[in-house]
Amino acid sequence: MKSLSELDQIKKKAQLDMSARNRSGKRIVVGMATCGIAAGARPVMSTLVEELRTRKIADVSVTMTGCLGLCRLEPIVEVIDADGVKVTYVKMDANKAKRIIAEHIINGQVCTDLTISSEEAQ
Amino acid sequence: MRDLSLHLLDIITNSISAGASHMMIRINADHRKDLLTIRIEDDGKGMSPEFLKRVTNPFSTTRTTRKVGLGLSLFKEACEITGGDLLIESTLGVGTIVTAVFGISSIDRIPLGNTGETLSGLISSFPDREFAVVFSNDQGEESGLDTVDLRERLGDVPLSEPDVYVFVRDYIQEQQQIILGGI
Repeated sequence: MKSLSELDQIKKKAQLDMSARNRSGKRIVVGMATCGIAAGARPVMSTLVEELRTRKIADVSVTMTGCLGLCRLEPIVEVIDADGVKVTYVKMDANKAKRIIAEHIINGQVCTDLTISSEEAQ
Repeated sequence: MRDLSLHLLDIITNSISAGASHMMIRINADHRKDLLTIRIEDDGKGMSPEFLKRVTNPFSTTRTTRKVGLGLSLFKEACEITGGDLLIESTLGVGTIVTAVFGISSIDRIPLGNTGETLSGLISSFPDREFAVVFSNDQGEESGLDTVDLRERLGDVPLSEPDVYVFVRDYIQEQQQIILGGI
């Protein structure tokens, strides 16, 4: 059974990590309005956070946002770098979320087959 | 929506849009009365009596990205097909209380799902707001989690830390399981 005292360990570890962090300023935003939620955005967000945690990437934030106005392409994930350059991924699922962390966030290679432009080209 | 915890996520994002800083979620399972109640209380800007009247109409929305708002209408439908009901009380400038009642044993009731994943996503995305969730049952058992307590424990460590996200998700889901069982 989990206990709130586990938070003391998390605190100690995070405080050590935080001092050594470089802020990359990268953000991942998940569309989480009715359309996104119904299409499966919540487990996508959970997978993104878990992958960052497993791979010990502490300088990328994952947050939810509202409807992006493209309901038919949900779940939608945007990766925004420090300069504001944005890549929009559409029709996401947990496996695609793992790819985005490995290929885009870690290796800096945009998953071009998952972007909105590749979807629109079809 | 596949389960009630997804509806819950959807409805709480309404509170966020309404500028709420405190959101209190109570989930009670009363097997003797065969009722599952989900109550979401916020201190957002509230709704006018006119808007409140048409808020569960799918063609009512305050959003500008699209012209339909399905959140509350879908939630109401999910209640009503189980013999339950959705009640919305709201006062401008004070806040809103959404109470959803479900017939537990109704064959049309969708499962509660993972409220842990719902709350952890909200808490890490909106770390400046307060969320509390309380599970209770007809045995008088009660348990939950409050971000005020989390903050006290974590000090300067932000609630958006991935380790905190995973802890919150798994802790709340475990409390749900202990108090409400597989519902």
